[in-house]
Parts: sequence; C-alpha cells; structure tokens
Amino acid sequence: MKCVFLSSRSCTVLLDAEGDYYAKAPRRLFLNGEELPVENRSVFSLFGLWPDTAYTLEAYLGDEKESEITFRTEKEFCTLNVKRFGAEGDGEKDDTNPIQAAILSCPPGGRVLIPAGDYKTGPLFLKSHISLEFKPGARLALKTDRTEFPILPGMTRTTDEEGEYLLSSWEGNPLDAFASALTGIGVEDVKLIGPGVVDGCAPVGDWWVNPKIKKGAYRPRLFYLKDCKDITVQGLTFRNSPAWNLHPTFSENLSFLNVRVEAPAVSPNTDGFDPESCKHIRMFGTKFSVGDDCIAIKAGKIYMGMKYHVPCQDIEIAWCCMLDGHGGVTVGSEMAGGVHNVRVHHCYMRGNDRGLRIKTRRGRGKYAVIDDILFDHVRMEGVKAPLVVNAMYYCDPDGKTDYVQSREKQPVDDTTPTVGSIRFEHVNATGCEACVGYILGLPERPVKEILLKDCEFSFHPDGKFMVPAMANGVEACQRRGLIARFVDSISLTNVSMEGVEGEELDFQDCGQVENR
Amino acid sequence: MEESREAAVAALLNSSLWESVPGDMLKGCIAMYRATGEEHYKTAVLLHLYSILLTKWRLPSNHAWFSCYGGYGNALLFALDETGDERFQTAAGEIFELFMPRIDPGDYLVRPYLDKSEVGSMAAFLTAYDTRFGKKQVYKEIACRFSDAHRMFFVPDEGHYRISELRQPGEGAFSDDGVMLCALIDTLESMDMQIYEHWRLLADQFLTAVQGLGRHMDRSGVLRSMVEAPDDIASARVLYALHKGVRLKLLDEEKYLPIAANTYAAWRKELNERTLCMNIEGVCMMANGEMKMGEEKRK
Repeated sequence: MKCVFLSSRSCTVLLDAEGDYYAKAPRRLFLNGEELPVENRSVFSLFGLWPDTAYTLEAYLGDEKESEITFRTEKEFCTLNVKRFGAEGDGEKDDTNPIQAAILSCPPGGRVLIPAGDYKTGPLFLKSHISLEFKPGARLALKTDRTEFPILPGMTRTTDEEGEYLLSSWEGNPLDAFASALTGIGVEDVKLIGPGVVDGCAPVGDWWVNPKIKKGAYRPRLFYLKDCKDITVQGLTFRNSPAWNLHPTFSENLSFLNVRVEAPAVSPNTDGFDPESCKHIRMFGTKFSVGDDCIAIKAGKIYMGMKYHVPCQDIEIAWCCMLDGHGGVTVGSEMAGGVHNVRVHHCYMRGNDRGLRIKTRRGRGKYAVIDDILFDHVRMEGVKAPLVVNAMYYCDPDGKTDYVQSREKQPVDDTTPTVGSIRFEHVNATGCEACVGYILGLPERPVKEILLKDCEFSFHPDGKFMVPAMANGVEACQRRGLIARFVDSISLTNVSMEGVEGEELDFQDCGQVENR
Repeated sequence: MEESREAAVAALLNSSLWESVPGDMLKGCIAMYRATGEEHYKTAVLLHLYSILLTKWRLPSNHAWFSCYGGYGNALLFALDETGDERFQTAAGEIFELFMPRIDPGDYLVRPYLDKSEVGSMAAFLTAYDTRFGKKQVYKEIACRFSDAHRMFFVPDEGHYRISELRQPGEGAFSDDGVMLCALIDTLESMDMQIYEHWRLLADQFLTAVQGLGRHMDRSGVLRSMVEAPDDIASARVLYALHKGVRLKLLDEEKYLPIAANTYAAWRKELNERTLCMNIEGVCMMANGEMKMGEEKRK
C-alpha cells in the first residue's frame, strides 16, 4: 500500500499494484482505527479528512492485516464557501459569478468549497495555488445556451504582428472554441478535489445536434488547460460533455486520480482524456465509459507540430478501466509534435472497438514520431480488435485524398510521419471479434517494430464483422489473426490465438518476422 | 453614383451573354444582396444566370474568358443556395473540372499548374467548390500557387505586388495588389480552417501584403496615393479586401478598420466626380457591400 497523492482534505492510495482497475481481492480498511467500506479497487481515494492531521490506514485481506501506512495531510490557509459569495446551488439561479468570485478571491493555500447542491454555471476560470473541492452531492451543471459562453480565440497575433498567442485548440489546430466548464490558462499548483460532479448537460442542449458544424465557435470541453503545471484532479466525475472531456494542452506534471468520465456510447466526439503536447502525466484508477476514444494522446496537426514540435511524452496510465468507446487507449490521429514513452499497465478494458489504437496519416510532418508505446498487463474482455495501427487514417477533412490514402510508395519528405516501437506484453484478451491486430504502415515508411510477448487472445464464438482500421480499402473482418502491411519488424514470443479462422498471421510487405 | 449602379444592375438583368458581364459585377450584386437584403440584387444575378443557363450554357473553349469563370463559379454556387436548382451545381462543376489541378496518386500534376492569372481569378471558386463538394484535394495546390506568386511578385521594398512585367514602378501601383488581395481574402473565406496549415499560409501572406500597403499611408491614416490613383478598380478591390479582412478577423480591427474606413470615405468622395463603367461599379458594390456587412456585424 502506498500513498500517491495528498492534499489538505484528501489522499489517494495504491492498494494493490498487481491488480488492474479492480484489486485482486477486496480489502477491509481502517482509518485511525475506524472501519471504512470494503474496497475492491486497486487505487482509491479518501475524502473528508482534516488538514495538518496524522492518519494511519490499515488494510486487511480477510482477517489478516496486509499492510499499513501513515501520512499527514497538508496545511490549509482558509476555506471560502461559495454560498457565502451568493451561490444558491438550487439548479435555477445562475451561480457563475459567485463561484468565479470565490475562486478569484482565494489566497494561495486556500480552498474554495462547493457544498452539496446543483450549481448552474457557465465556464469557470481557475487560479493558481488553490484547491477547489466539490463535496458529495455537489454538481456543476453547465449552461447549454452557447450565446452565454465566452469564446477562447484560437490564435491572436501579437501587437507587433510578428508572433502569435494561442489560447484554444480544436482537433489539433488553434481554432476558436467556447471556454470549458473548468478552464485553466497559465495556472499552476491547482487541486480539483471530488467527489462531486461536473455535468456538461449536453443531452438537454444542442451541442450534439449536427456536431460537426461550427456554430460561432467549436464545442467546449469540460476541463481544458493551456500552459499549466502541477495540476491534480482527484475523485471528480465528468459527465455528458459537449465534446472531449479532459483536454490539457502544453502542460506538465498532471495527475488524474480516481476520476470518472461518463458519456453515452452514441455521443459525438466525447473522448475521455486527450492530453495534447503535455508531459509527465499520471492517470491512475480512472474509469471511462464514453462515446469515442477513452484516452487519446495527441500532439497537434502539422501546423502545431512544425512550428512548436512539442511532443506528448512520459505518460503513465495505470489501474484504469475503459468501457465501450472506439478505442481504449489511442495515440493520434493529431500527433504532429510526436508521442513518446507511454506506459499503459494494469488496466482493464471491456467492450471497446479497439484496445490500443494508433492513428496517423501522411501530412502530419517530420516531428510526427510515435515511439516507445507499451501495453503491459492489460486485461481485455469483448474488445473487438485489441491492436490497431493505422498510418492512413481518413477521418480528417482532407483524409480521403489520394495523397493520404495511396498504397503506392510516396516520396519521404517533411510531411511523412513515423511509427516506431509498439509493444504488447502480458496482454490477455478474451471475446475478440474482428481480429487480433491490424497494422497498416506506409509503404515509404513502414512501422518500425511490433512486439508481442506473453499474450493470449481468444475469440467470441459469435463475433461480429468490424472494419478494424479507418482507411480506404480496409474491409470488415471477423475472427482474423494478426494482419500486417508495411512493417519492418514483427516479433511474437509466446503468443496464443484461439478461435482464429484461417491463418493466424497474414503479413504482406513486411520485413523481419520472428515467431517463437 | 446611384444612377450608374442602377444602370449596371439593369444591364445585368438584360444580359443573356456571359461574356458581356464581368464576374465582379455578379460578385458585387451578391455582396450588396448579402449586406442589404434588397431583392433586386439577387433577382439580377439569378435572372442573368437562368438566361444563359437555359439558352446558351456551355463553357467557352477560349481560355481568354477565364477571368469570368471565377466570378461565375461563385455566382452559380450562390444561385444553388438560393434556389436549390441542381443545374447550377452541374454548371459550377463543369467550371471546376476545367480548372481543377488534377493530381494523380503519385501527387504529380497531370495538368499544368494554375498560372499566375488563374490564381487571382479562380482560386476562390475552386476552393469554395472543393470545400463543399470535393475532398479538399485542391487546397495544397492553391496554397502552393499563392506561395509561389507571393515569392515571385511581392516586392517588399515597394510594398506592392508587381505581376505585370511591363508595369513600371509607381505606374498603376495598386492594380496587382487589388487582384491578389481579393483573391487571397475570398479564398481564405472559402477554406475549411480545419486544414489549418494551408489556411494559415494564406492568412500570413494576406497580412504581409496588407502591411506592405502601410508604406503608402499618410499621417491621417489614409492610403492617399490609392485614393488619388486613376485606377479606381484597383482601389475598390483593395478596400474590399481590407474591409473583408477586418470582418473575418484576419486583420486587427483596432488597427486596420480606421485605415480602411478613412480611405474608403476619401476614395468615394473622389469617385463621385467620375463616371463609372459596369466593371468598376461591380467592384464598388463588392467594397460597399463588404463595408456594410462589417458595420452590421459590429452593431
């Protein structure tokens, strides 16, 4: 047992490093001798603690004491209750200004408290060195009239017209978007603490009606950061976002602990978590059930990649649960700054279309390098295609042009992306439907390395057809093995595939193949 | 002033030959319709297009008429929006096919590049058509052509484009600026900004060209040499582009609107002294319509 985060009023604990989202066995817990509810998750959080107070936490497996930790909560300067600033929390009155006033008035080391209640608000802007705590039963209900939302300009030219100041981002480009429910611009040392709810209320508005059409500006996210550092989100639930849920950009040292992200399976572009050109990220013990990719790691499109070339890197995703959604963990397709060093371990995925999904295309640029991506100890159930790499992704406004989709070798130039090493180790996937994996590289720049080690795949007996990769000419398939086109090196060690129809390995235009 | 405009619109109404009507006249009527909502501008465009569509529609094989095509292409898309009559789309598609730089799977052009004149007259329509009905395959080519034109013809020391080889420095100084600025701003308006790299290239080029104009500004913030130039059509084009740049937020309103507004006011005053032909009137209506749309938006 290990404490992974402490604030003045909460902590997050790693209970079982060997489990996935769920611990291998439930534990009985005692906090300063007082019994807590039985815990069956590997990572959990305690709320309602007192500042600057010592605690002892004991974990019991059955009747046997397994482990014990002690910790002291942080000090706290003061608490500003939003109700004292005039917030009603009645679901009717607009509480934007009282809550914003409380945030802006909070001193360093202070805490803004949102008690139980329904707070109807527009976008709120964060401030450095504070905590914002949502008590149980507290719910921010985002207004749905877009005319009441501030717009964040995508790009503003500097006064001398030589440079630019970027504020907003939409699908990898600096485009105007409505401010998000919680927006942080250039802030640091902020803690957002649950267990309350941030509700985008999209089903009762018109955000999801004709979602691809820009109406005034692009749709808001629920949580958006630009140029921030040292930010922690703990125990909050994000629900019914107009578009992506959590979208930090150009930020570092970010922790997301025991968060829940929920959106209907049919909701448009409701990705769970989209870090874009960020570094040093921890995503622990979080549960996703969304309408698009659960996690999509990004680094902009070619303009951003070529001008700033800031990769998204050093990311640890662990003890998380990904339900439904198009991809469990996705890289791209906006990845022009590069994506490096991603560790996904001890996670559980169920019912996703794809487990690991790499998406890129010609035109992302020379800094668009995806490398060092590891899936380790991941359990999948009913994931239709556990591994998909697609270098000809077509879901861009110009993604179906001949230039993007040609299977003929193109000149390698400043627009050519690179896919490096992708590794699957100790992956157990049952109930697959379409295929074990589908790898489509570029003829002029094949995927460098696919490595599968100690993996088991088995198929659902009634598995349905599905198109594994969104590229022209890729047909729906069912119960296929590992399919690869344009890959330099494929290595399989101790890999089993049960229930495959036809050949387990279908490789064309691939280089070195090892199967042990 | 009003008389010459009424005469120009009436001439459009009575014309069933597309060679007889400059594309800018169609653009001017459309701009005025969008700015004022006055039906007679729309009626003039639609009746003219219907008359040539139903009687004599075929693309002239003589490329000497290419300068008409862009204006007609955009007018056909306007007519499609206003009527839903798919024949307008078909006709617009014919123009698109004639000019679209065809790209083979190897990305090598089969058809020769759009030449410098075609960029000015055709880019906005090709982009608009491709944005609505195509794969946006033409964006890259259009961006390349503008980039080439900028590199080859923009003279930073003069703050002007100089495309016409025969033109001497100072002579008709704004004529190429007018063509290029109009082409750039209309193309930018037609582009899907989500293909940002191409959009941004053109936006930066537009800004550079506008900054170049700043060299010709007097102390009162008026582009005096343009006001006093005999080339009214070039002046009107530049003013149209400036007003549209502000409206589309490509130019800083605080900085550029006073320049555009003051220069426009001074130029209109000068213009009242002169008699306008249909050509000039079309561009004047474009500028006038654009200014009105900007004013409306700022309200």
